[in-house]
Amino acid sequence: MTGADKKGREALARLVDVLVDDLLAAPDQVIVAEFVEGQGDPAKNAEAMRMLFEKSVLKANKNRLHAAQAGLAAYRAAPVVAKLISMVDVRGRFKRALAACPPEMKLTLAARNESDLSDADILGMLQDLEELGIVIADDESGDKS
Amino acid sequence: MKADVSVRSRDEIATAIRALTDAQWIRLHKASGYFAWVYDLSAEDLLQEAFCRALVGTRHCPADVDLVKFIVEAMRSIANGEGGKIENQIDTVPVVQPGAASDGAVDLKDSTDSQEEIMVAAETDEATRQAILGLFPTDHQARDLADGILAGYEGEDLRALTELDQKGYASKRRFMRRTIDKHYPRVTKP
Repeated sequence: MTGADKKGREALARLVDVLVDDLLAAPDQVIVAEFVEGQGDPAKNAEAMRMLFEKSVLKANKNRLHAAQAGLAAYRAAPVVAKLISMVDVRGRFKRALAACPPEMKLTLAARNESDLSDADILGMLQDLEELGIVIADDESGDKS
Repeated sequence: MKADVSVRSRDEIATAIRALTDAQWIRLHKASGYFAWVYDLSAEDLLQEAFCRALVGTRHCPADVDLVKFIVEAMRSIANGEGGKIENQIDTVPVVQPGAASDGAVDLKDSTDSQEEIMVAAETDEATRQAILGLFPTDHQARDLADGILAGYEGEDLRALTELDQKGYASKRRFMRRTIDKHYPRVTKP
């Protein structure tokens, strides 16, 4: 299609806009009478249109199902990214967190003696401190150490 | 600040559509035919797509908007979009010069209309205009009305062109629609 064709189509579209405006504004009895005169039985038309609508309902349901299936498939296909962390860094953070703790905060002796704790204990305690808001989580602080 | 506009749910839309009257179905039927005619689409597909978009929620239907008008607007928008897709297609021509490019390569055609294309389009537009005006051989006001619309006149300017009062103007518009209704699928168009 050329730009010149577009002009002609736009002119016709303007005409159709006026026809549609009049169609929407015309009283029901006029619309029905015109249809009877020119095209036939309004009830049959309504029946055919309702059937078309029910087909659209099925199509819409299928579209929704396909969208949901695609979403689920995308979720399942997404690779699980394991976060690699350095325990040296974690222990460093833990030590700094302990050092920054106000004196009134009571910590167990075991916690104070960080070097005796296992990696799992350190991670668990750091997580607890993060949840309590005493230590800012890595993701939020941007601190990689 | 956002206005508090309630939107019809999917179920409310479906229930309301199933309860449309004969006259409302006729309006949808005719409107889909008009848009399909202008944009070379299937009226049935257009209507189905409008229903689907309303049901899926691609288009939100405010509770205070007439449902038939809403679906008509959806069809208008879909038809416009489809028309735009065709108009914005970039023409391609195969590259045929030996050695110029590998087999199957295509070259973009200059998107500027050639003089020949402009002339052909102008002739087709004029033929369409004459076909529409020819539907009103003895009614110069209806001819002026149709011609004014095709030329881009709107509102009061359009009414002034016909020299009709408000009532006469509304009646002439209806007459024009009824006349075009009887003939439009056979009118040549661009």
